Amino acid sequence: MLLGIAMGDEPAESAAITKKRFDARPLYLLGLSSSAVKKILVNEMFNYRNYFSGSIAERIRRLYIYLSLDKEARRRAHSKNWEVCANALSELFKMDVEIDQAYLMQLITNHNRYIREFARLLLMKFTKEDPLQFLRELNEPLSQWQEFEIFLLFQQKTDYTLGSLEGLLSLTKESSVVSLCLKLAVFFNQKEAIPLLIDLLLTPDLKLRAQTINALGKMEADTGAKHLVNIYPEQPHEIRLKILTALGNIRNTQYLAFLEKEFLNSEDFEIKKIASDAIIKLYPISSGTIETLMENTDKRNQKILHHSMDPLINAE
Amino acid sequence: MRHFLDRFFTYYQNVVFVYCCIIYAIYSLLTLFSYLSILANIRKSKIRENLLLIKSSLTPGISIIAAAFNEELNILSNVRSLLTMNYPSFEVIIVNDGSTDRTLKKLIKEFELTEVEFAYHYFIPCKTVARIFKSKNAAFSNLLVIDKLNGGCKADAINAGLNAASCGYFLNTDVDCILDKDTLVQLIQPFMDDKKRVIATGATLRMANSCVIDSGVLVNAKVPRNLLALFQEIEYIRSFVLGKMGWNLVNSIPNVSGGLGLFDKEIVIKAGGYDAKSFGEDMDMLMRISKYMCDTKQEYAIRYIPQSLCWTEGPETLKIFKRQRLRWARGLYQIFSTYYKLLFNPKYKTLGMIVLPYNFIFEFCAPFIEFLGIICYIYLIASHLVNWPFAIILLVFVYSFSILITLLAIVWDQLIIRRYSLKEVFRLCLFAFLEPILYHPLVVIFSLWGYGNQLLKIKSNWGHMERKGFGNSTKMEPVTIHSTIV
Repeated sequence: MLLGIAMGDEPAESAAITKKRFDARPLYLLGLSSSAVKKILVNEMFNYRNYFSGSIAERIRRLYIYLSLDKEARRRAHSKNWEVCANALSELFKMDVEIDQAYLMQLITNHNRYIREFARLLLMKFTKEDPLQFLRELNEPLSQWQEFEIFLLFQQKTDYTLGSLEGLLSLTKESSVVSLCLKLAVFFNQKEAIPLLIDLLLTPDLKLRAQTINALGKMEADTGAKHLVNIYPEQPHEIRLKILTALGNIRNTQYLAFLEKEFLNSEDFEIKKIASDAIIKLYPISSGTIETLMENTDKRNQKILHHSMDPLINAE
Repeated sequence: MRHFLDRFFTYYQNVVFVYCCIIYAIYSLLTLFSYLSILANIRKSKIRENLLLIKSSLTPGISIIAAAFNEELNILSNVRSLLTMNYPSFEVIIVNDGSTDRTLKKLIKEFELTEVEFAYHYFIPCKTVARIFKSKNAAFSNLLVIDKLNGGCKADAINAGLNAASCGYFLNTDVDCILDKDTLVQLIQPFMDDKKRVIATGATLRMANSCVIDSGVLVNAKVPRNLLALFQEIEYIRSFVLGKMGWNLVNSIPNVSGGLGLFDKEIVIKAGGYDAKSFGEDMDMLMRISKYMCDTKQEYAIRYIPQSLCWTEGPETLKIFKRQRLRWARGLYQIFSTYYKLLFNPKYKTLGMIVLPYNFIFEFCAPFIEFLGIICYIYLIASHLVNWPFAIILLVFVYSFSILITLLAIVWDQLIIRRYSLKEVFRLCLFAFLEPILYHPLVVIFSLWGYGNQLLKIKSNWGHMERKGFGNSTKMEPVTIHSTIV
């Protein structure tokens, strides 16, 4: 019924909503004045927007506005009860409905964590230019959940101008924000951020260093490979594994000999395995190296190479 | 002598009185805490959309590790159930722990497995891994089967699975368990959303004994018809919904069940993996990882969620039930003989000051105190030293309180999700009145028996849970995916 009302017989690309657009009488007959019915209806609308994209999702959104459900949500967003407020903000976020920016700016310093997070998300959602500006002044760690939400926002929105991440990376002290920036840099393939990532290799934060190395690898940063090899000897075990993985992703054959040396000389199984994976990734350039290794190395190394080459083991 | 016994038992009844007052106060607090914890979870689930984890490319991978020993009856339905988890990135590792039946043969045939040259490394020691299999069918590309020599216990098999796991988190489950489709999505959430570093999460387990299960999927949850299984269901509801959710509020979870637990793999490996000698490897693992975090001065949390995500076939005969409970009792005894130095040690914070002391005094010692209490009662009756009106009032109070706690646990369970019909909930409530009389004494007897076996170092092995299976499983036609390179 909901889809039928939303679709009607009007084309989805039409401009303003008019009363003729939606024949919502069946919904009123169900008792739309009841808050329980409204709640169920809004949940159904969320589900449809999750499962459909494009014109259907947009029509559902317009129906939501047509039924004045957004007004209700905006009213609840001003509630003193944190749960009511957070749920209302969540609803507005999911339905792509804007709310007064000035009010949201107040909410990003609210004592309740969920309210702060949703306020931030709403601000970012409706700010086309430099949406990450709201993270500059952040003085608390971003939860991984919030990272996911922000990242998904960027994945789904195609009309964003991310702006240069350099500005944010140089200003923020918060490692979780830097972590998010690294992921966004990879997603948007911001090659201009690579010099900043190379500087980040010197960070004392091991987790951040590992993420930076990971990002350099995924961005296939050729210029970063030299730095990775240079810092390799002084790094702890976990970082060395990341460096080897990144070198495999960068696919610069200049470092094939380095990978081969690590594979043969290291006694550590994980180092051998990751180095082997990286050598295989350089195929077909590394085919000669692989053949030589298979012929001349011991059974353990041969097994590791077989493991890296086996498509059944490495199938995703 | 008589005078001494009179004085001793009179003194002892005072001890029991104080003990009961404290334990009832704790249970009352746990009832309140569990209610608050469940409410917080319900509130959070309205705000946090699990679909986000399914849509996001950042969602971390999870390795599902399940050990199998002579599980030919259920293995296919279980593996099918595991392979259809609602989660973007996971692998399923089945460890065939030296089965002597057709477990491995069935797996090979059903999932088109072939032996691969897997570079296996013993990060954690375990019995020799003989062969490793992967599927030729791309539909089962995330299935890995390890065939190893029997290690005599589940812990050894899980360690073998851990050595091959490629994801940062792993789910420890049993092959006789049926998991909810959203198990991974629900259990990973606390790891993503807590202020502290979460190192383990668990959820509620239920009895699958009379449930309708089709091809490894729970179709209809039903309260067990078998009396023993029904009592276990009541016990599980009380233990998980009331006990664990209550402790969850104060970050003092004593145990993440071996039937369902999601762990941070890095921490588990650094803590040394599972102890193959332990009869209670699940609780031992929790002690290990908690101790490791305290020793390395890292803040951590262990979380529980109230949703029922796992259904397991419980023992329906006294013989199998006894075997299980003897093992659990031995496991508990081992915990305290291994970790006694942590008791009341402030260095170990909630582990040393709350979790271990509570479990020692009110779980481990409870069967002794109860048993001695009964002896005391019999003596006092025989010596005509009982104040009968007071004794009857006390007995009625104790009985009523235990029923009340159980009934509240059943009510709290209904707040989370209503899986059972009203008739079945009523049936559960009714049998809650019989549980203290028929079932609880068995638990006490087997606990004491298990402690005795452990103390006297009487050899026993893990034993084998005889399964009835989950009924006829529909044979799935294998799907072959042909890739075409254009």
